[in-house]
Amino acid sequence: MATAQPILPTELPDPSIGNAYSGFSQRNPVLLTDRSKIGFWDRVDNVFRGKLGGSYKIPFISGLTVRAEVNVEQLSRATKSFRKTAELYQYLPETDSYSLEGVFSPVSSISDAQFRRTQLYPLVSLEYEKQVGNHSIKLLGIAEQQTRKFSSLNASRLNLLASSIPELFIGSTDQQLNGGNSGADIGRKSVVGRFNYGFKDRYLFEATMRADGNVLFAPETRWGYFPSVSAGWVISEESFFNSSKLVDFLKLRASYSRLGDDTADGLNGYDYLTGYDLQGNPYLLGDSEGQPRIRTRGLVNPALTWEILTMTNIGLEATLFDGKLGVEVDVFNRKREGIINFNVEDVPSTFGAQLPVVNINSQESRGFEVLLSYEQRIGAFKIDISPNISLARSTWLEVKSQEDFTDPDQQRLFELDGKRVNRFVGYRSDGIFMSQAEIDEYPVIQDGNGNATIRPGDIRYVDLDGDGELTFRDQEEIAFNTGLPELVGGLNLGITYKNFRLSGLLQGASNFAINISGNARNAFSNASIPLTYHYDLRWQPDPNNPGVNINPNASLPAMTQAPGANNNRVSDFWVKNVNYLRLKNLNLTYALPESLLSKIGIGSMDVYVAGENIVTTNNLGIFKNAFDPEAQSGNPARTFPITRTFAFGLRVSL
Amino acid sequence: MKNLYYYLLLGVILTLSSCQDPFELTPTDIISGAIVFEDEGLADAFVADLYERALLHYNSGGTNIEMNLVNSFGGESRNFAPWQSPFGRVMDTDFDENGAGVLSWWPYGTIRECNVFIENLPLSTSLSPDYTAVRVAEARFIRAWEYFEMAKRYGGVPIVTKALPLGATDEELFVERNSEKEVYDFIGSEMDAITAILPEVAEDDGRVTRWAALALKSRAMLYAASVAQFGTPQLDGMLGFPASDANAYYQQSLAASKEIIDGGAFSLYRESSDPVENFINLFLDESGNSEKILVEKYDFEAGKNHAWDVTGTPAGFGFAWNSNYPVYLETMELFDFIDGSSGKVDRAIYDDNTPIDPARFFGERDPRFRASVFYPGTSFKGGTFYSHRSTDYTDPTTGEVMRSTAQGFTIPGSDGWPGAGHPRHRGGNPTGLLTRKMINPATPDGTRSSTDVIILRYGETLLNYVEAAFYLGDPNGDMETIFNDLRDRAGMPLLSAGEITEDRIRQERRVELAFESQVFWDLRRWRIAVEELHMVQRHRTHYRYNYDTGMYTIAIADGDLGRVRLHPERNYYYALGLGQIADNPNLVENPGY
Repeated sequence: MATAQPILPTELPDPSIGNAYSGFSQRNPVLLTDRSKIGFWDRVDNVFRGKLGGSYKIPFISGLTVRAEVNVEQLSRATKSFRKTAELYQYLPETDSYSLEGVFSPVSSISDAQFRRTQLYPLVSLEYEKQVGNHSIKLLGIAEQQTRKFSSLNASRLNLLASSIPELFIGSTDQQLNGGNSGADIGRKSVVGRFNYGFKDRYLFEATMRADGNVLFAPETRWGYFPSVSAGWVISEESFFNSSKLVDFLKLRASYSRLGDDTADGLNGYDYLTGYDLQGNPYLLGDSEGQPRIRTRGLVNPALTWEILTMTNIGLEATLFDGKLGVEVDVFNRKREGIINFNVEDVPSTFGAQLPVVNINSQESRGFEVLLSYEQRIGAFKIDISPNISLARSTWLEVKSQEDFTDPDQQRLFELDGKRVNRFVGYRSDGIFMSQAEIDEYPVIQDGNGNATIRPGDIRYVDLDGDGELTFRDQEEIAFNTGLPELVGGLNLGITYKNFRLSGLLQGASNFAINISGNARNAFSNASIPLTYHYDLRWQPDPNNPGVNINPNASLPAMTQAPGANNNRVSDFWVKNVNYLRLKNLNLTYALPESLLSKIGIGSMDVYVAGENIVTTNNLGIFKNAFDPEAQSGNPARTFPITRTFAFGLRVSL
Repeated sequence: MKNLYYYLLLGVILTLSSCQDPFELTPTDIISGAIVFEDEGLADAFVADLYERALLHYNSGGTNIEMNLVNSFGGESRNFAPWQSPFGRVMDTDFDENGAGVLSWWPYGTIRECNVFIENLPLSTSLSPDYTAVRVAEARFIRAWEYFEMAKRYGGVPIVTKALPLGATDEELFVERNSEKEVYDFIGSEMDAITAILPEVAEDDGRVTRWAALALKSRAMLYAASVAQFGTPQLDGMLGFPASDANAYYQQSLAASKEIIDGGAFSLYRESSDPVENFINLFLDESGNSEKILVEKYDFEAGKNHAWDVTGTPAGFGFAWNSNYPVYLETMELFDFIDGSSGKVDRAIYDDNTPIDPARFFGERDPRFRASVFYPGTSFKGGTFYSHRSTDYTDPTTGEVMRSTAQGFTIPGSDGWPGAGHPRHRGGNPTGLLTRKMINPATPDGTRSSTDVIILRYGETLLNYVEAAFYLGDPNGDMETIFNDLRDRAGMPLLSAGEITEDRIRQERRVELAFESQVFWDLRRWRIAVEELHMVQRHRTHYRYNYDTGMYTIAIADGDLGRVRLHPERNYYYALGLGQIADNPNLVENPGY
């Protein structure tokens, strides 16, 4: 899409010739949507989920129940891809002829894959419940296990005899490939015990102990033990409290829990087993079939075990003023310990072995969430408003998966220990060089070569350490990281007046960044069509005097087919902190009066107008309208944009 | 009703009891380390992986676009697209304290696996000593190759010949750099040791032989000699050699080359009487090609292929992605004319006006040019490669002189002469010339290549011999004969001993080995990379054709779209990089970073 030139038509004057060339190589976005011309890639999933279970109340002990169930999930997936050859032509009006510019999928192919997976998930539990006076007790024990096995088979052929039959047999047997494998990728067992105690509805207490085992860890380290406790105190139930008129309900709660994570990145399964893996492609020796290759699985770590997540949470719930105001406040601390990574710190690269994954890094997140809700009637108006805000900040506690830096600047920039997770390190920019004279006058060498490679229109960087040369030491923390924002907030608002209701949601986020990259950064990158801001804001050479800029608005580098390394340094020129606020949705509803509807036998009828993503405002300056900060990390060509929709509707229920 | 529940519960419990214990699951695809060194098939598979990991040639990058990386660094050609590393990461790139960028090569992983194999295979109780000796020698070749790749970039690097266990002491682990001399001596002595073990004829094509070991020694010792002669020792001898060592290394190189020459197993490829066709086929002929000493084999159907044809074939000849390796004017200028006159004609004629006769300008150039480069008018796959921007012609009906710039327009009365070449071959980015060496017209349209890539060839051995002999004063008196063997095969006039100068030897090497990932390293070891590459502009050529006279006019322009190729003095030794120094503080960084 990004390379389709708008000056070229999507269809040829004589469509029987073939498909229209869109400006670069074999690409054509319109063609790509046409199954009849280029084939397809289809996936069909058949999922069977079954559950068989029963419970039995033990007759001679009241409150004791035994329960057992088996869950079965069977996935059967068929994937078929069929690629036809499609030729792209450009129409040459001078000569009323066509020239072949590219061929999409020059070799037709078909591939067929079958994948089958069965998951078995049996569970037995024993539950005991007892109420004695104001005391209630509940005991629960669960034993469960989970196994998942899979098998797959695939085949492909090239050079199809006919492009109308999407079946394997139509391909040439000359270059047919097939493959398949089977195995088990999940094997877990868990035993859980839980104890609940309640006194009236005033004091609540729960304690849980879990033992989780996973076959992917070595037998010695397979089991992890994870306790958790939580308690609640409904203060408003206390006798000393009932004098208060202001507060209707007040509850204080606290919890502490430890959980194990066996799905972390870096965990491949069976990481404790030494040996060799067969590699994908062969090496060729002699005239035989390919010589298969094996490669070591690297050093192994039999001590690898669960990553542990420890969560502490303190919360307050209250309602005030006859239920008009609701408040919910939570403060949390989450600690991840034993995060899996390679222990790079202890051995140098010349050691040469692929290091084992080890539970070495740790991270802590702290934050809070506040949720308020308020309702008020003013005459015929009813207003309800509920804002919320949450902040979560993560910090690395200890990181052993990187070098042990000794250089103070490397420590400052690259060492993660004790630093926020959400940081972006790079250079500080100072606009662009408007002329060769500005480059000549600039006392800082930016390219290690006397600025000989710097051209007018290139980005100027700040020499933070003042040594006259731009080196890695001139970097600093320039922004938050891309990805999830630390701070998010929202506001639900509703106004009701007689039969009208207006409701909407405002949403905002802060403390994150986008990194303007790819063809959003460099005009013509990967043969893409430049964006408007590239054109409007570029440093623009005077055609008669190429060293001189003639664009009074110039604030972006000169447009070139071959952008230099200078303009692609990681810097705040392209990495921008984002704040945004968006009217996520707005609805206006009119409910037709019941008196009217009852006559024609209709229960209710609403007429409504609804809009989504109506207005967004952000702080991105010249890039303001090019990015949707909610959806994109900085390269608009790669993601489908969030759409703005308006709907008009009628909702009827009988 | 209650009974039904009992039965259900019973059923569930029965199902539960029939479930497999999840802890009894085991992976089915892990090969036990215990049997790898006891089974020939597995030991072969281990060595095959070492071959795959070794940097015999660059074939990385999306669609192997880095196959052209070294040629681009050497200023011979570049990739079409600035967003591909053999253009984007070659230009403007000052290799600074962060390391050698896209050229970085620090293959201690491969070296460790070589060491594991070298240590463990001889301990095998079930494999024959003859078998293990040869396979171990192959692993030693690969290990030495990888050290050579590092020495070319960084000078001295730590020589690690043992696979250390995880419990090794810090002293064993945190190694220091060996000197450049120690690394080259290690390569030399390793090749001496395995030359006695490796077979003369490989049991499988693609494996190293004793000749491959000698050819690597011939090349590596020549590099050492050049660095000794032209380089400057630094860091207390960690980098460079005493100048007095040059002769000894030239002698080692000469001796290794001579052993290959005297062995008689190889000869220059001379299968066709037409030198152009012969030189084209040298890189394509896979049946009994007498010049190949070591190849990396490719075969689409056997599961290993590359994209040289997909990327490099000119547009209009059956490939969707194409025309990816434009050649510079400066490269064309290195190719002399068959009458012996210089290929570097006065650039004043490139004024878009002076008529230039293609029959002379291209047709009488070194046949190796016509075999290695697509130039305007090249015949290929039954068609013709054109790159002219326009054609002037006299309209036969009106008698008017017209100019066409349309590719789709055929000049009236011509035999299919187009108004202009394909857009991919003219205009603002293309240089008008494309790399032809190893482009295989037999590769079926649109599929990937099966053409074996030559890693070591006899032609290079002869060039190594001539260069070493030159600096040693032609000790065996055969320098002229051997040099002229290459010239004669190429279809170029023979030279007398007196004409074989340093410049002539270097030019011959750049011409013969053009686009074979060699020239860049040669410029570096001769220590002329700064003069030849550092901020030295390359040019592209624009062609206009006059159909009435049959003449071209040529204009030249910046070949790198405003970007600059850098090779400052310090880059003769690239930085190990901040990461390596932080990783092991015992490593001393190269000077200038």
